[in-house]
Amino acid sequence: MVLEYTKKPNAAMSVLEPYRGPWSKTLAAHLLNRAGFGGLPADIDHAAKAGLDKSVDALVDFDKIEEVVAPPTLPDNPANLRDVRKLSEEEKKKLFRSNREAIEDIRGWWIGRMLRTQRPLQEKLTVFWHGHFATSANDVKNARHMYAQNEFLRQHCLAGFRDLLRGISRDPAMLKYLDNNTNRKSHPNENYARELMELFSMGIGNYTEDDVKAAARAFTGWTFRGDEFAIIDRQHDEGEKAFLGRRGNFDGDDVIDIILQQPCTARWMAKKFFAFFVYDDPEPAIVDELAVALRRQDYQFKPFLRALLKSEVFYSPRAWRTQIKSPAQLVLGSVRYLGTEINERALAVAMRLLGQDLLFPPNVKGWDGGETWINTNSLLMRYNMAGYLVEGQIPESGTLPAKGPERRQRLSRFARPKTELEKFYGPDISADGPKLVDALVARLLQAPVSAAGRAMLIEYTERTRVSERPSTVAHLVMSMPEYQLC
Amino acid sequence: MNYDNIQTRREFVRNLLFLTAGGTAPFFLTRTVLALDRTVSAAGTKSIPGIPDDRILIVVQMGGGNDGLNMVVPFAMDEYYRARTNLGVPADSVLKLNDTIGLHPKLDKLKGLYDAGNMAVVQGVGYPNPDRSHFRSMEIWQTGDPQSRTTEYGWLGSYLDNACPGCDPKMRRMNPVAGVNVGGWMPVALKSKKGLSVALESPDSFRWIPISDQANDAQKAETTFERLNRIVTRDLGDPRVARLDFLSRVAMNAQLSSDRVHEVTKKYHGGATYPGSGLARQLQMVAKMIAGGLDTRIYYVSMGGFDTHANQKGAHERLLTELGEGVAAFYDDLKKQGNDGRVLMMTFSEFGRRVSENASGGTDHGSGAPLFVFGSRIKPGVYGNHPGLAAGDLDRGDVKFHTDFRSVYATLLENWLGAKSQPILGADFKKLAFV
Repeated sequence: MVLEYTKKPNAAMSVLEPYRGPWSKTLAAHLLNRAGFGGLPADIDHAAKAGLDKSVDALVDFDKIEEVVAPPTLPDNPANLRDVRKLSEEEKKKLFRSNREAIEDIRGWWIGRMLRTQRPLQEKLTVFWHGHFATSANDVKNARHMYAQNEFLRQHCLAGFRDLLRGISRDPAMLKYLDNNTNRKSHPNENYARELMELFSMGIGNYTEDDVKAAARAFTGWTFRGDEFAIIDRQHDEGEKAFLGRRGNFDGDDVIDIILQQPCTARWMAKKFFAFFVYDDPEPAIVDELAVALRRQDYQFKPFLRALLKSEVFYSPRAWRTQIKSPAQLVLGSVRYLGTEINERALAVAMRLLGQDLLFPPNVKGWDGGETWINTNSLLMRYNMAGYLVEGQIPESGTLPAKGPERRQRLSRFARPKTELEKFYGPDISADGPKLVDALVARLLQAPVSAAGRAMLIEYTERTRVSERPSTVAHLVMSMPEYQLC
Repeated sequence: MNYDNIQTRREFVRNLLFLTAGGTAPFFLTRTVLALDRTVSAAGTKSIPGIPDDRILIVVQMGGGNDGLNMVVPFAMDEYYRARTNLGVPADSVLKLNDTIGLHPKLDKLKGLYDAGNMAVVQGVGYPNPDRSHFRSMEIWQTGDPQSRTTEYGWLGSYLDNACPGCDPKMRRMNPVAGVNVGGWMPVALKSKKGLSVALESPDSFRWIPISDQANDAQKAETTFERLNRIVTRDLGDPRVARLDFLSRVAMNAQLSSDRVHEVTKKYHGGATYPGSGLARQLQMVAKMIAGGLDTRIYYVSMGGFDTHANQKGAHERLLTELGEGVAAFYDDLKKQGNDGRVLMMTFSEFGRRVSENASGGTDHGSGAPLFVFGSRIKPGVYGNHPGLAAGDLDRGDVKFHTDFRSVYATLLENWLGAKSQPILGADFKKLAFV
């Protein structure tokens, strides 16, 4: 299926030209990695048999798949700040603690959902939008608001961009995070207006400081009461504003409409989507073409992503196994491949130690991704985390001492016993070095390993006790540069 | 080359260098912090005569846009109190440096350093056409380039690329080769063309840990791990291979650095009492590495949370307390080590904050701001006047800078590190007198 608008007269080949080459397990695994958190052997087999079109459609049309996951329990918070002020110090502390605890619950709940969902693309996109509209619970503090935002992003993950921008501009967590709840006519607070343009839609260099000031005025009075969005009329600036070359008594929605008319907005979003799903730093010509497609489609992300996941470029050598796994991708994939039962809160700790603390992005820019995930510290941490995941023992911070009471003390409260890898392969496989290596490489790496690498792993098994082999070989495979890619 | 006969990764590196002494050794190998033993340590490097070659520069990043006006308070200016009706620091509580300015009362520890002649205040630092985006302005400070959007390398990274005669692998001089960031991330400031700087959070987690509890098995696993992460010359035209090459280079750097860091930090026995803050923890780690004689001259530490758009007062006070207590404890440690004369420390933030407070009890993004320089060999005092705060003196409500931040960089590069600043900063900037 090609979307009409991708066909340009006389163009040699459109970026979104559908892939017509042979379909294989390798490409099926690639699709499941990028549109989800990696497939188990059975999932890969299934997608390989179903073919490209059906596999992509099954991922994109996730609303056809029944999924009823009960939401996490949320604390009852006072309806507004005035009620909080009336509380005693002790009650305030209790309120703060219960929210902090609930935020950890929500994060654990989300990770559990990512691990077990039948709609992997929906959760993958929720992570994408969480990084895009980055909002930290450190500042928001209110667990109900953090959950509401998470659910908003999930429900609108393939909606139109207008709906997303209008919704996020009314989202209590965002209003709080970027201080729009205190953006008043008398003293506009520019924080939200600036980031809306710089990070959420247009990119820096496409607007002036005066545009920031005008947009801030348009959003004055936009705040929330309890869990609900509210506009305080007397705080809202009804005066004329000059914004991106237009004049009028604009409010927030007008600002969003004008932003959507800017070609730079389509380029910004096309590039961001492409970098997340296909490869970093796409060629300008690709971005241009995708941007045109996105605008003609009125910023509807569903047909856009469907075409992208079916495209030639998505299955090109530049895309295949060239993406550095995010910590979420690495940890969730590893847990699924290893079949470990690790408490989701411990997995959140693991991701935090690798540089991706879900619900606590480092700043409003979210996570830069790509090669910035990797430095000397984080790479060793990834390798060590693989070992901890095999053992089911996640440290609360840094590293675990080899033995003794200090090890127990530094172990995450939520750690669980180690995995039993043998359960996937029958009892005898550990005795057969080459068989064990091939099985673990296929399961974990999902791509061929070099002949030299395979030989090194086999040689290792020959010098190691049979009982030690499965877990230590798994750790070694996961301590390879190859395992960092998907 | 027969890799299998080589027992340790140090021997591996040494042999690789030996075999490729014609100058084709992969550059990164000669330029990791820790590449080899210190047979060619600090003593080998001299650029500008008369400048000792064992000097160290530490950069403290204050992320988020620090409110310079409440850090160095212009208590004699009425405009300050008019603009800061709620947030203004009362004149009687300011720790006065002269008749017009003083430190925030939470910086009492730094006042001690100032009085002892170990601190300079540089006022009104910024750059032309200030950018009020955190990310862009931070990039400008870290690359030292306000014009180009394409500068890939950091100012400290360029120093590492340019400054040392020891960079020539044929000369086998390994110092100074790379910077160390304390923390799990790698700032752009340290990014260099030829080298790979090191990021580490703590020496304990900075090594590969085999999961086997039997020493014998663990040793075998470690050897295999090293072999699996070894760099091989490969076809870098293939995007996947280029990624693998990048990863294995970082892995090699990590392993070599890990050995060296463990070796040097073992020598530290603790000299001072540090507070429990994040900055103090980072600075203590730096103190350990300095005490052990790690061959690097550049350390980078950071704090965040300065983006005080709302409810600034308490938050900013806590941050200033963390800064003051951390820096003071660190200098105490260095003095006890006898290393205080080798170290200079500079603070910076990507911008200051708007002169007028907003309606949220906070301040919005501004531009010019003061910064601090610490060290027992500096010329202490206050450099530059406090920028005017009258309406006509402001640029869109922000203080105007008078000292380009690259003047501060040039001063540090030339007068402290003994490196030519022009190739690093792309132009000659006026040097200041604080060192």
